Amino acid sequence: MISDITVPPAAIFIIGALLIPLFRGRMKQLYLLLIPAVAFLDVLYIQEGTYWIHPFLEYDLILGRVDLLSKCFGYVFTIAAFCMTLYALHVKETGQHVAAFIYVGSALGVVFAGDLLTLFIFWEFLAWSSVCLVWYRRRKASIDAGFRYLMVHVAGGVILLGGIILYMQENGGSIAFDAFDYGSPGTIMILIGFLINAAVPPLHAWLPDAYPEATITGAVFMTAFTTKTAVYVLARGFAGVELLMWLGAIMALYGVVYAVLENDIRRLLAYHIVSQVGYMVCGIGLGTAMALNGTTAHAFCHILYKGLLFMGMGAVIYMTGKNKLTELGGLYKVMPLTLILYMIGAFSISGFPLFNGFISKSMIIHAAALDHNAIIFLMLGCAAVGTFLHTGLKLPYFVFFGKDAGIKAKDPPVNMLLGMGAAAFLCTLLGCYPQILYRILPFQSVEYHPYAPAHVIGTIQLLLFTYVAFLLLIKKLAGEPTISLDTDWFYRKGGVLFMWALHNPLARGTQWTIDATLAVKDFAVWFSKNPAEALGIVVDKVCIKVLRISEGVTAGEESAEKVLASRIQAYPGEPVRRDPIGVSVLLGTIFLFAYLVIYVVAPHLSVYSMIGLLMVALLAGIGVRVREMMRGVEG
Amino acid sequence: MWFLERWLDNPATVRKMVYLLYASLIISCLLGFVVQYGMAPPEHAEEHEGFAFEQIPVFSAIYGFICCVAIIILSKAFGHAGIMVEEDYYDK
Repeated sequence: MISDITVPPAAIFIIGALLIPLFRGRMKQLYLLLIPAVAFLDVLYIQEGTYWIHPFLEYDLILGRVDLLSKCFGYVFTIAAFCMTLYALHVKETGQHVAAFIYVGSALGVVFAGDLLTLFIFWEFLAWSSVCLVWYRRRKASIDAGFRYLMVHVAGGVILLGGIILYMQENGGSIAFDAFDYGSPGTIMILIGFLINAAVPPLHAWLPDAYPEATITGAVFMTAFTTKTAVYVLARGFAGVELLMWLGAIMALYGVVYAVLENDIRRLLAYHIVSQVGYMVCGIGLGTAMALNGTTAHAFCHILYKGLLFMGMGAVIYMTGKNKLTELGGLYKVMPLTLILYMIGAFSISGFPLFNGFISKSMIIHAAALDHNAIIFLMLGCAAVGTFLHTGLKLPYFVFFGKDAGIKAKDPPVNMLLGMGAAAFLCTLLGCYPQILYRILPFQSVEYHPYAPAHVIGTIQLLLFTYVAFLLLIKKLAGEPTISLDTDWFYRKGGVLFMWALHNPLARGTQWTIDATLAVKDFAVWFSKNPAEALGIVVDKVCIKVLRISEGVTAGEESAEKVLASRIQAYPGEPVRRDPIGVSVLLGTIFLFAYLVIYVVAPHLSVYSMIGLLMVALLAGIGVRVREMMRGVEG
Repeated sequence: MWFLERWLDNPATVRKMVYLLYASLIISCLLGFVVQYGMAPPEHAEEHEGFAFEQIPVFSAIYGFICCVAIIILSKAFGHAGIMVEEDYYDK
C-alpha cells in the first residue's frame, strides 16, 4: 500500500524545519527545496481516508483526515511553499527558514486535522511561528506590529478554545470537526475564532497592520497560509451560513476602498488579500456545490498570484529600499523582469482571460448568479473592478511608470526571479488549462466552463472600461503621504489609554496605599520605642498648634517649640522612667478609679455621650498643657 | 531589457498604443453585440436565465466604468473625511 509510506505532511515541514540548522551553504539550499517537494509528493500519494489517530487523554487526535477538500489545500500549500522557498533561498539567516517551515507545517496540520483539538494546537502554532516572520525584520515598527498581531491571534485562539470547550459540552464531549450546526454559543465562538484568522472586517486590522512590516520573504509566506487555512476551516465547518455571504461581499469591497487610500505598496496588496478572501468567504456563505468549488479554486489561485504580487513588491523594496508610492516611479527601466512577472500576477488577480483569477473568481460570481442573488453578483463585480484598478493599474503605474524617481536599482537575485517565475508559470498554466484545477475540486458533480464567449467578452469589457476610467481619473489616484485609520485604531489608541490609566490613576493609587501603610508602620515602630515619651511629644505638638491658633506667635510658644525639638531629638531617650514608687501608685489608683467609673457609669450612657465625655476629657487635658506652656514662659 | 525602454520612451509607440486601446474598446463592444444577438447560446452555458440588467447591451462595459469612477471618488471622499491621517499619527 502506497499510503503506508506516507506521513502527515505537517510532520515533514515541522521536523524538516528543526533539521535545517544542520546544513550549510549549497546543501542547505538544496535541503530547503527538497522539503516542500517531498511534502507535495506525500500529499499526492495519500489516499482518501482517516489516518494517524493518536489517543490523547480520553480523546482521539486525528492528524490525517484526507478528502478532496483537504487534499486540494494540501496541494496548493506545498506548491506555494516550494515557490516561496525558492524566492527566499538567498536568505542566510537559518531562523527565518525554520519559522517559515514551521508556519507552513502548522497550516498543513490544520488542513489535515480531523478533530477540533488537533486543529486548535496547530492553530496556535500558526500564530506563534508567523509572528517570528514579522519580528525578523528587526525594526521597531515590526516589533510593535508583531506584538499587536500576536495579541489579536492569541485572543482569537482563546475564543476558539472557549468555543471548542462549549461545543464539547453541547455535544456530549464530541471533538469531531465536521459541518457545525450553526447557532449555539459554542459554534458562534468557534466561528468568531475562524473569522479573526480569515481577516473579516471588523476583525481584519491585524492583516494590513502586520504583513507590510514582515520581512521581504516572510510576508510572501504569510500571504498564503493564515487566511487560507481560515477559509478552509470555514468551508468545512460553516458552509451555507448566510451571514458569511454578506460579510464576504462587504469584505471584498472594504479591501478595495482602503486600497484606494493606501500609500505603502505592500499594505495596498494586503488590503487586497482582505478583498480576495472576501470572495471566498462569500462563496462559503452561498454554500452551494458550485460556490464551494469556486471558493476552493479561488483559494488555490489566490495563493499563487498573491504570493507572486508580494514577491514582486518585495523585490522592489529589497532592491530600492523604498516602500511608498510617493517615493517610487519609473522602475520599468531598471527592473523590467520584475515588472513583467508582477504584471502576470496583476492580470491573474484581476481575472483576465488566460490567467488563473479568471477561472476561479468567476465561479463564485457564477454561483451567486445561479442563486439569483443580484446584489451579491453586482458587489462582487464591483470588487473585481477595484482589484484591477489597484493591483493591475494604479500600483504598477506609480511604481514602474509614472514620474521617474531616478532610482538606481536592478532586477533582484536569480533565485527571487525564479520563485516569481515559477508562480507566474503556474498562474498562466491554470488560466489556460483550467481542467487541471477543476479535476481536484471537492465537488466533482458540478461542471463549470469559464471560457463561454459571453463571459469572456463581458470580462474584457469590464476591465477595459475600468482602464478608461483609470486614465481619466489618474490624477486623483496618486499616492498621498498618509496612513489610513482602520479598526486597529480602537486597540492602538485604546492601548495607549489603557497604559495611561495604568501609569496614572492606578499606579498612583497603588503607591498611595503603599505609602500610607508604610507611614502607619513607621509611626507604630517609632511610637513603641518609648510610648510614654511619644505620647508626650504628640500631645505637645497638638498643644503648640492650639497655642499658635489662639495666641499667635508668642515667646511661650517659641520656647515650648524649642523644648519639643530637643525632646524629639533625644527620642527615644531612656525608655524606662525612673519615677518614685509613689507616682506609680498614684497612677495605678487613678487608672483603677477610671476603670471603676467606666464600669459603673458606662452602661447608663449612650455611645454619643461617652464620646462627648472623652472629647471633654481630651480638651481639658490639652487646655491644662497649654496653660502650663504659657506659664512656663512667664516663669 | 532595452526594448521596453526604447518602446515606452518613444512618443510614436505610445501614440500607437493609445490607438490600440481605442480599437480594442470598440472591438470589445462590437463583439459584445455579436455574442448577445448573433450567436446561439452554447450547449453547456447558463443553466440560469441571467439577470434582467444583463440584457442591456454592453452592460459590463458600462458597469465597469461606473464602478471604477465610483470607487475612486467615493473612496477618496471617505478617506479625506478623517480616515487619512499623518504618517506619525500613532507615534504621537
